[in-house]
Amino acid sequence: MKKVLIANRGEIAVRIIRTLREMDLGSVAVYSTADRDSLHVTMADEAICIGPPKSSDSYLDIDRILQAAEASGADAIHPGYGFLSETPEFARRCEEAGIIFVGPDSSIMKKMGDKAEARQTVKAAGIPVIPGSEGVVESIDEVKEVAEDIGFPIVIKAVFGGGGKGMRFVHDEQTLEKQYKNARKEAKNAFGDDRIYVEKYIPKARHIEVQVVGDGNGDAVHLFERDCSIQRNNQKLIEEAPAGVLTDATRADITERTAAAIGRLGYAGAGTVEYLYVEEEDAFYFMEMNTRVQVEHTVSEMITGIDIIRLQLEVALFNRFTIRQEDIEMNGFAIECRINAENPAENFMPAPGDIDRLHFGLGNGVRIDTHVFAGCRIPPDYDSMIAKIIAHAPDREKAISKMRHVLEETVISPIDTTLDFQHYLMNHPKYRDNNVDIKFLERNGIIE
Amino acid sequence: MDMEKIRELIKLAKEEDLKVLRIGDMDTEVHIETKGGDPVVAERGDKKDMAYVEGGQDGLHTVKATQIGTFYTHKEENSTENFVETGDAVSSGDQIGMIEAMKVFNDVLADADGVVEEILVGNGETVEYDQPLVTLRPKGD
Repeated sequence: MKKVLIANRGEIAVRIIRTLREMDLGSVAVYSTADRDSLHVTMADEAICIGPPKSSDSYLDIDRILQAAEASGADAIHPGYGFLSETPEFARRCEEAGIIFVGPDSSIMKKMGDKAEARQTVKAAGIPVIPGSEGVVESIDEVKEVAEDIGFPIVIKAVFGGGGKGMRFVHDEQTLEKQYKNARKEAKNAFGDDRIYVEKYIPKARHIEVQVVGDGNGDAVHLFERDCSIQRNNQKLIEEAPAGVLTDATRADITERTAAAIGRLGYAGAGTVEYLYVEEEDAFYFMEMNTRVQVEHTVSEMITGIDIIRLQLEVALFNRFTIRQEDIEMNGFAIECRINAENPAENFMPAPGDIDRLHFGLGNGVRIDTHVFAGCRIPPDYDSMIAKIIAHAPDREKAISKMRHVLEETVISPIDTTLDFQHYLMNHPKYRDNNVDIKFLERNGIIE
Repeated sequence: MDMEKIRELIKLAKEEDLKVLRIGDMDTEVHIETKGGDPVVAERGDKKDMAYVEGGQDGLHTVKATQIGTFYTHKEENSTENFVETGDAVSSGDQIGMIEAMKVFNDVLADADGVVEEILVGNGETVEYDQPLVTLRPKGD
């Protein structure tokens, strides 16, 4: 029997342990002292304390994780999402240590981590990209050339940027020089690398992403798409599957093209290709690829009935890829609301603490992915997401209605959470009409 | 800690002349080593809460592991000579053991002055971060 170490914590560690159990695989949890009482520690077959609360000395510490793998005799490591899941160095060290890394190999991870290179790579494989520079730009003159070609406004982006950082919007030639200099400086300070590239500025778009799974040998399937437009500070709040705004034809086109391209890249395991979708043009523009399982994999699982974590493990551990595109069917509509231990009234300030009372709305078509339980403590050291509430129904309207009821029934006290905020969004007329884009919260005056 | 149960297990270990007795159920593991005389007992409680004695209880100071790996009490591979024995006086900075992880050996040093009260982990056993290794009775007690 094989043993898998989960290099993560919280709800995703619990999620992975559950699938490991179903597959009769052993589970090894690692934890920091702050997570001693955590659910994933209790649930795993074995648990090893690897460090103090600080992530850099525990969940982000490659040496400690590998030591735990060695001590426990784990055959494989599942990195979950966040932490080391997209760190090529970690994948490489696993490979060196003879431990299976549940994810793609380090070289493709590296390619996708460098945003300029990712752009070029997927473009060559047939994925539509935002008009812009051919890779990194070396000088202000090059930027001017590109701007003339694609037209203002443009965005100057850092190669290692992310989460909204390392971006400068340039509306006309007058401000170009100043913004160029600032972009380089900011990139150097924030990422230690001042390399930049240029893209056309897309003023209004939805965030639509395609879930793919590859076998590492040229074959890949898609599990349709998700619309994750409702975001705050580039953090997703609500995710839906499928994207209700797309026609069947558009859906078929983008999902098939994406799967084919990912197959061509020889990609192994689960991944998500993120696009900006401009409704008026019915056009998709590549943003980035995430070479890991995502938080919102859940809604794709609900509409297809497929266990994505299981697919990851089958490919990585057993080189098994028995799934065929013609067998993957879409059924109904699923919405996920992320619940964070944050206070919306105080600019979403994290609100860690003890949960005394906990009750989730449940029932037909309801799924809860969480690591919290009554009496647990939310430590201040990690991200604030405490639960994912998912509702599945025959169509979007019914799913929204079901979600509303679930949120109304749910009690999480006494800590502050975004539960009521999500309920407010579910009731928002524009959200219900699916009249959204990635600036939904700002555009409707919900946040500054 | 169920003292009755522990006493019975110690009795069992002695009667059956066991060098090591390790027994566990769903949430507790008890590890008893008999070293020619008095058994050394280490009880591992729930994974979530060890019966880890914090410095302060009984006035003892606990030296804990600062990394995970294999703990060695023996000075060298082929000898059974320990770095320290129960009753030895140590000063802060003295080596009391070694932890090996991925072929790298790290010295475990006493972080207080005192007399070795108990060595809680056997030679060659796996330890995790923060796991108590050795208790010291501070000087002056």
